[in-house]
Amino acid sequence: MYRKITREKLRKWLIGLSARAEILVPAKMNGLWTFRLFHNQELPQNFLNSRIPPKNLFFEPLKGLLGWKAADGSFQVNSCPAPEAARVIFGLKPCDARALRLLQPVFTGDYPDVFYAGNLSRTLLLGQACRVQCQGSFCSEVGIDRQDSVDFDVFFREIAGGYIVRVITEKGNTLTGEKEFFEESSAGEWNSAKEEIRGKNEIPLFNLEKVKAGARERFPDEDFWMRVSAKCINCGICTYLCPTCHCFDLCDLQRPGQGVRFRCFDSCAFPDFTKMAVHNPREEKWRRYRQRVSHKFNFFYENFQTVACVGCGRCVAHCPVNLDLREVLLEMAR
Amino acid sequence: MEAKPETEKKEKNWEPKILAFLCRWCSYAGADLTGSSRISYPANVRILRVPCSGRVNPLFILKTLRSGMDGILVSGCHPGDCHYTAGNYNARRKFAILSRLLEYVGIDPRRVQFSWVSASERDKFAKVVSAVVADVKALGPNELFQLPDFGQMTKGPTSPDP
Amino acid sequence: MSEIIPEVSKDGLLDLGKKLFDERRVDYFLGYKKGTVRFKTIPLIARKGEDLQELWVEDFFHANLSLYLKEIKGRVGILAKGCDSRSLVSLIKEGQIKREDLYIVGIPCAGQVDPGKAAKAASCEPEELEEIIRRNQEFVIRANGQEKTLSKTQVLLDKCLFCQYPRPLIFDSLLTGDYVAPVSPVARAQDDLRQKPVSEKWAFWSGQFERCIRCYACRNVCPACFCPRCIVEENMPQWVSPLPAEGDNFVFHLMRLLHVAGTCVSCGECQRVCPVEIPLMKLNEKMTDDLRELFDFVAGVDLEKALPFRTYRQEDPQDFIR
Repeated sequence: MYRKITREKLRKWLIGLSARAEILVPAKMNGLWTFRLFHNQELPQNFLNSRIPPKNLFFEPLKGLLGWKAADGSFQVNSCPAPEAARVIFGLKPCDARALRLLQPVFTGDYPDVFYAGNLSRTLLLGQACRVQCQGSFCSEVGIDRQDSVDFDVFFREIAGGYIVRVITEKGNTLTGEKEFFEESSAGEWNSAKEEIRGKNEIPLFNLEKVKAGARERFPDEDFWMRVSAKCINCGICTYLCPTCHCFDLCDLQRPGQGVRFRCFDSCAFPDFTKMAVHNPREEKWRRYRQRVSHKFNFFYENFQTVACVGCGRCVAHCPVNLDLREVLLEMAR
Repeated sequence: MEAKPETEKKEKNWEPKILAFLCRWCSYAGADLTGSSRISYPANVRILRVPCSGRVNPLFILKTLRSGMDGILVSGCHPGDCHYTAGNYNARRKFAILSRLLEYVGIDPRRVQFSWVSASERDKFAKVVSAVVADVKALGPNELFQLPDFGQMTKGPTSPDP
Repeated sequence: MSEIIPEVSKDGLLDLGKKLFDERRVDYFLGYKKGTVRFKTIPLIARKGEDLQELWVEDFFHANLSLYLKEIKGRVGILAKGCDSRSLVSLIKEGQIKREDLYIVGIPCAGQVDPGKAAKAASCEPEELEEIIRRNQEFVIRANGQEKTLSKTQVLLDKCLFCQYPRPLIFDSLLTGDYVAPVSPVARAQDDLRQKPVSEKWAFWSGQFERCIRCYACRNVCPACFCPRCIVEENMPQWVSPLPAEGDNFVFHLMRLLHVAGTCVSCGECQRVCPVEIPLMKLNEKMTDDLRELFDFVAGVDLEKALPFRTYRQEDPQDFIR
């Protein structure tokens, strides 16, 4: 189903929604794009991908899971409630939304995570089409259409004076059904409004099938991994800025009589990540780098039939030593 | 988390908690003498005996602040009196940089104080402790690292706008 | 006194590197190669002469290669800008490397570009910058199809504007070129924050510490952070919890700052790599200014002078002690 809305009406529609839900929109804070609470302000145009991926709004970097308290001879344990309050996020990019869907089987599979599931079900995902290719990105190579997506509830594409809208879910349909804001549109109009992406890779960088095959074949090739990871400095930027990385650590904090168990991010780039009592299977950094790449393009694919990379380019653009994942993939595809 | 519960902080007759790192040879003995001479000083200090003021790693001070203590006192031998010859000289350099840095990041210098108290200076010890307690009382509780309630114990880029 | 400086041309650099490998003077050679992302250069870790084919010393070589000396042991050839050479001096003083194991090739540096700053001056997003071209004493910025001319002060990293050591302090040979500061060094602008009341300082820094995601890139990229095991990873007892919470981030950053005091040469790598753009250099500069003021110590310029926390003077200031 396709609809249209003007820029001003969209803002009014969001103001209306804000009575019922918390609304997050792209905003620039301290020089970085991020998502902030909507205070009826003008919506930004030409915003770029947020530096910190919106994954953090669903799978938080710091999350209390349970708390305990001992008082007057009794001992109480409370689990942290699953989030319920309705929420709307506007301006998500197709890559980040795909990442949220990729993580769904991980968090809602055999051992469901109430927090991730709760965050996903309480949030209305409003996407927006990209107009420029982000620095370091390779989204089309991993099968993401920057101008079209079905990973949202409603997908917006900027046109002159407003937006053309693709309604994907029933929830989205109900909310955009209000005639005072949205006009009806058609598939024809949607297709003809498709824009060229500025600065896109004219020729695909690599073939994903070959990368997947290469990930399996290259796994035992120690020299290859040592060579590509030599300059890695073992920081957590690539994992913490990754929209699909989802490793975490549990940590207890206590003070007399009470304590809280937290979940916080962990990174396979850190030397201690797999450290056990007397042994660390990934002591050398090439093993850790191999793990990161193989997890995304080999193990995750085997488990969930999709690669765990959406090509957003954050790890490429922000790596302190310019360790370019694209180059590694290219070499694997050879 | 390690911050104190709201209720405790808002109490009217709030009393600061102060951690004192006292060198074993001078200030700890000085504190002992103060007590055995029946000179009274505020009961707000919790004394931690250290072998030398040089043993006090700046990390101890940072960790103490983070754990919610309201004030810190580090006390050692007067320059020249160190049992280990130069422990307090070395400590003095570290503390000089630390106290300036703490001030720069916005921690009131009155929260983290330093003193030289010898084993015989019972009056000085009582005076220093009283002064530190008065300073910290004037500053109020250490609320630097209050964290949201347990239920909202979540951090993300959208932690609500200030 | 006339000093013979073995100069080497850009073309000669490759031959020099190969010669060093052939003569077994070095096991590794640390250089730069062309980056794949705009305004970035890749550190090149050569293990044999052939690896040097990719050597590229044109522009945007801000990385301080001495960081790899934490990991690479043995005899190493290394390219060093004037400022990087201070890190080498520091590491030698700290006993991390031996001077005789290093073959240092000094490289001239006309100042390193700060894309974030340039974008701000050109009023566009850093991601929109297409090209930054040096032209005589100015820079030409292309963004969104438009060209703008900016001055050096608008484009170069702040540290380059106050460059005091354009010529490496220690080296074995020098690449031909001009070893002069990119702009005539002016006194560093006073950090406004230092004059503010304590509560405002806390408001500023708590906002910064709160954003830290604890990726440890600042620590890992820092040549002065050479501990084989960092105290934040120690968990028996646990000094700093791994939670990216304001209080633990505060302990982490202050502790790191104190650990590198005396070794930190303000190379600015920590701030450059920070993914959430915390102005860490403000802290480093405060610390280095204090060291100079209190103990007359400047890190990385003098191989002989004792490190500030390994020595003392009886008359050290103690006005802060009761």
